[in-house]
Amino acid sequence: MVLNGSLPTRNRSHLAGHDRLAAFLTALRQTPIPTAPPPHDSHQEALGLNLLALALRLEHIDRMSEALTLADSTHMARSVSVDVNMNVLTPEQMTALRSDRASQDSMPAAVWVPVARQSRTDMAPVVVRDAAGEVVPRMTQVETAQALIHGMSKAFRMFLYSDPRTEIGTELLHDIRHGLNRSRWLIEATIAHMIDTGGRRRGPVPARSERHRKTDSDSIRDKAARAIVQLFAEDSPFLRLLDIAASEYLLVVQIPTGSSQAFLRYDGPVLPARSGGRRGRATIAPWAAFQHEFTVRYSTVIPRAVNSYHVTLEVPQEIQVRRFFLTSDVDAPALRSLINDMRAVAESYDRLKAVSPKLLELELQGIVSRLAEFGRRRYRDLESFMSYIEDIYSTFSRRRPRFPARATNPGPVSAARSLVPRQRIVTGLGHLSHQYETDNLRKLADGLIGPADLQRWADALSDAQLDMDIYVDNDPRENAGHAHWQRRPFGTDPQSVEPVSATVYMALVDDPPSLASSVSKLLLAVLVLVVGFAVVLHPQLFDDIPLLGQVGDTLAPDGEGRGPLGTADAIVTMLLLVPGLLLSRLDIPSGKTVLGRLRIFPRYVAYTSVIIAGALALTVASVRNDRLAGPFVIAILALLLLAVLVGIDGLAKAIKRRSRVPVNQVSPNWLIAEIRRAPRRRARCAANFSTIGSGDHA
Amino acid sequence: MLSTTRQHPALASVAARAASAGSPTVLFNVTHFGAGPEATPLAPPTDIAPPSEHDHVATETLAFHPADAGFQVHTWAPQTPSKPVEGVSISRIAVSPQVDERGLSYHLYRGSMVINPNFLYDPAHSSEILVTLGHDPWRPDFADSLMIARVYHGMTSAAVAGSADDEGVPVLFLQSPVAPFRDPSPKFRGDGSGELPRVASGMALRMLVGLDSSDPRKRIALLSRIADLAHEYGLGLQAADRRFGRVRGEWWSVISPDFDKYKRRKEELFDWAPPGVPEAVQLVTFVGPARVGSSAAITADFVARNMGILAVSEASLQEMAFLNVMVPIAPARMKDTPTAGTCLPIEAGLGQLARDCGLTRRQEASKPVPIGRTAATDYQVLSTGPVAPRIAGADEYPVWLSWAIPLEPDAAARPPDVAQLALAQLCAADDRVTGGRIDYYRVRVTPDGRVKGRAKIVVSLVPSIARTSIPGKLSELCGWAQREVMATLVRDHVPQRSILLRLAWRERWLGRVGTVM
Repeated sequence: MVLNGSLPTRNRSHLAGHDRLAAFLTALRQTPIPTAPPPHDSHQEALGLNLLALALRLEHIDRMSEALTLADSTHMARSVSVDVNMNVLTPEQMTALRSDRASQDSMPAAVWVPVARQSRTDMAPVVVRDAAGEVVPRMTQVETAQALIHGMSKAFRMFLYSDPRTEIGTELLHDIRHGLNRSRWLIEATIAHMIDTGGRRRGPVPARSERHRKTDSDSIRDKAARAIVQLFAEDSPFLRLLDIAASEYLLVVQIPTGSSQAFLRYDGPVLPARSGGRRGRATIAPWAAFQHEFTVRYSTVIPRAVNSYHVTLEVPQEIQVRRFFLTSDVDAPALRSLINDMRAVAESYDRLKAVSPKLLELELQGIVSRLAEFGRRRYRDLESFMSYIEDIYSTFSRRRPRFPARATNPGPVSAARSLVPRQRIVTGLGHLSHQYETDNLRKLADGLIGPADLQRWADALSDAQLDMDIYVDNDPRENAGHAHWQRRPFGTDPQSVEPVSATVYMALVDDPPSLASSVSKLLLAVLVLVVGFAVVLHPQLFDDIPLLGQVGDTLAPDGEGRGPLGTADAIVTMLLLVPGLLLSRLDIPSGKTVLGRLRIFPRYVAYTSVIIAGALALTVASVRNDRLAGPFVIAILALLLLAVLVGIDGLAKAIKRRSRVPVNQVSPNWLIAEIRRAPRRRARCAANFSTIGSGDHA
Repeated sequence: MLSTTRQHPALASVAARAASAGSPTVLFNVTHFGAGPEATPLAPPTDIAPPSEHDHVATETLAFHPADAGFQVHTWAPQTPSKPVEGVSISRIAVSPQVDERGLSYHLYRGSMVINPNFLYDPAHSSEILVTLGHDPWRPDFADSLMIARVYHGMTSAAVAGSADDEGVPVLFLQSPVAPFRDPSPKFRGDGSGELPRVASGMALRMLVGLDSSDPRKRIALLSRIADLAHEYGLGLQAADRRFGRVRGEWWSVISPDFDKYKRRKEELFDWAPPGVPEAVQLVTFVGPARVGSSAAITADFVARNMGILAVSEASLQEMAFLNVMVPIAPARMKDTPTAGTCLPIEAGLGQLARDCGLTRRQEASKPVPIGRTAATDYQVLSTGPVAPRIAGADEYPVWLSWAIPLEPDAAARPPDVAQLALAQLCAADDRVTGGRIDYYRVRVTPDGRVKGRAKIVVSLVPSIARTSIPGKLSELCGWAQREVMATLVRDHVPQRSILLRLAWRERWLGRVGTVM
């Protein structure tokens, strides 16, 4: 039975190994069988494979800076600058990547270099400029695809030619290499087909012919499919490479080789906010309308060779950046390996001890020494975060924030106790690293740490997200944020070959002098106006209120009904004109912008107060004078209610401003556990942006 | 070993390198050196230029000269799509002997192999193991050589033994004899930085296995199996120290050697072995695409056919496996024939080797597993012999050297080899040093045009130096020689700022260097 089923198009790039193989076999069924060999071009082969290899590791990119701007509340624009180190490219790579293939010079004048990978779903025209602002030539996607096709076909032939079975006459692979040319050409054509079309096409299930001759397409396809299954295991790196080449575009630019460094800048495609669904584009959730801050989460991938990454955010003057920090999972490989080690040692604890107690001791020492290093790292991060919050507090309060890590008096902790995970894991690890450095943990195999402890540590470490580090905002301006990430290699471990995923959290607010304060003034003015009219027209309402009662008595109309306000027209005019004038003085932005989102509540309050005044004016104009007491009372109560809401809003803002740690999905668990004792439900950010497209292969 | 998430960038790099090279093959030179019983050969000077193509630079070079006889391997990718094969050939591996212009005691083999994209292992994710048979200077007899073969087989098969769905871990490097390690006594330890001067070459095997950090069970299982092996034969076992921040050359002693038990086991197993130290050996190189399990298959054959191993150096260079062994020739099989070289496919090659070197008669050997069904099925055997090794068992001290300098593409303008310079410099201190040689040498030319190397130089000291003052004297010697070598390189127009050089008698002082060992 052959695999004829087609794959769903969604999430294709997150394919597991068996799906990749099945996708290839499906494409094999849909590709026309060539009757002549596909063209071979050694320049294109070398170009394609080098582009792919460089794009996967991006080792030539030394530094990366991203400047983020919120186009509106659901779209983020980003401008990316990269420093390209041309010295990393070897002479062979330079020759393979030359942009002028006819040139005879040993050192080409310019080379094609990939600077980014993009998912094929998020495509937009990208203009790349160099340091002088000149536009840099880009390779078209068609040319890139051609080079990738040649390169991947070459890689396939390498696998085929290096297989020992090709030298045994009875093996299928021998025939595929030497005799069954059409099957081999078909495999190469399938590679081309997949890269051209993105490998996403669904097709009808092809029918099978009833004859079984050698020239039948079924026979050719079956042999090709069998050869592929023999040659590539499900998790073969070849199929993974092909998947990447088929689902992503490479941004390839021409860089002159004259200087060793090149600086490039390009505006990435505008990112839409993502909803909870994987591919959906989000609008702002309704509940977010009454949030006191607009929270944004931005996720991206830092290439493996980048040692320095900057991310900046600038927002309009009216908005303040309340919190801005960056977390990355740079220690994830080290933590994963530590947790794996812990679980493996816990499982084979007794066996190791039986083989040799010193072997067990070696494993335990390896584990505890790395735990101690994690303690040192995260404690430093915690310290920097606490000083960041203290700095923020100092801008509005003399009181310093209280942190459990600093408040509790750290008494000496025994070596045995330091080896037990606690809820505040970073503090616990701080104690452990101290004990380790003072040589109190030299004999671990004597029962100081058992298999159950190791399992608990492994659970605690993965729950606490201890691989996430934190870099805080260091921009002194209120309407901008900047975080600088640096790679910290884990000990003498070689630099990880995995890219780092980084997440930026930002909370944007409308702090005083804000719309809310202007609106409260408007509200006060309307309230005074309404109360004033009520006092004049119906002083009896205020008999029990000390000051207003006396004022009412003084201004009350005499027996002939002559008072300061003779006609209703004047009252109506005042009630309509004053709030209207005040409202027109307020700067109420469009609801789509971030500022508009932040100002939704004061806007509603302003409109409501004007509506109340208007409604009262209508009542005054149409109702008899002696029946106005009721409407006035209702209006005053409504306005008071609004005033209370404004007060609550102000209070909530003040509390929020004093929040020591944002309890949301970006903050690592260990940070929340260190600063807040009781765990709370984690909030989602109002807007989530990500460059990690559905086609990420990090 | 790379986890599956990291294999595809590695494959892209390997394939890109291969596609850029202009040829689908990697060329190699294997030099066997050693002369018949009468002559005293001169070890070929170490160099990164392959002997058959002086105007080229080898991407990887390995030299191993344990006893006035040894091996050199050079590998490189050619710039033209040619293969050094006579006639029309489509075979993936081709090798032929060639007359070496340098002298009669050198046997040169030229070959080529199609690039193997299936072996994607990274020496950076690896673990090192040191198994000690004895702490004395290297002087193995026939029974010892059989024990070494058995331990070697035990270690390589421990690396491949695993569950059915698991192919095992690759042996990236294995060598014997190497400098054994002993935990320093308080007299030498000092503040913890002190170390006992190590014996330059002893009966010990050092193995580097590629390990995936995502599956530590493999590592634990491997260590347990090797610990069982060490218990069984009374061997000492040290593993690379896994504590945070520890570097290569720092060892953690797991099991101390039990020499009595080793002797007992040796007598139990090989009481029939001829007495004495071997006088003649066959130099053999097995070459083929690097694969997990190939060395275990070859050593299984050695054990089954009762062939001993005096010295071994197994390494994978550019995804090719080179397994160099020094096989003792039984006194009964000694013939007065001149030294000759042969190239044979593995089945015929092993048969020939058993005829030349088997320590028992054919009837007494057990039937080996047919090699054609193992991972070493397509390997070639390059064999040179008989050759007379010089197994002196003298007191010698190792000095480790690591360096990195920019590559000078012009052969005429290239400065002399750094290891040779260091050796000459050390030998120039004739008030302390009576002689020296390069025991091990491994150089890699990195794609960005740097020559990175690591070497072990062995020196013998003037007998009048007291044992306790040896560390101090060696420290002075290394510091002085390092400065002088640096000065020579600068005089040869190598920019000083681009030279990284370290010469130390304590291996861990080199820190972590990219090149293996």
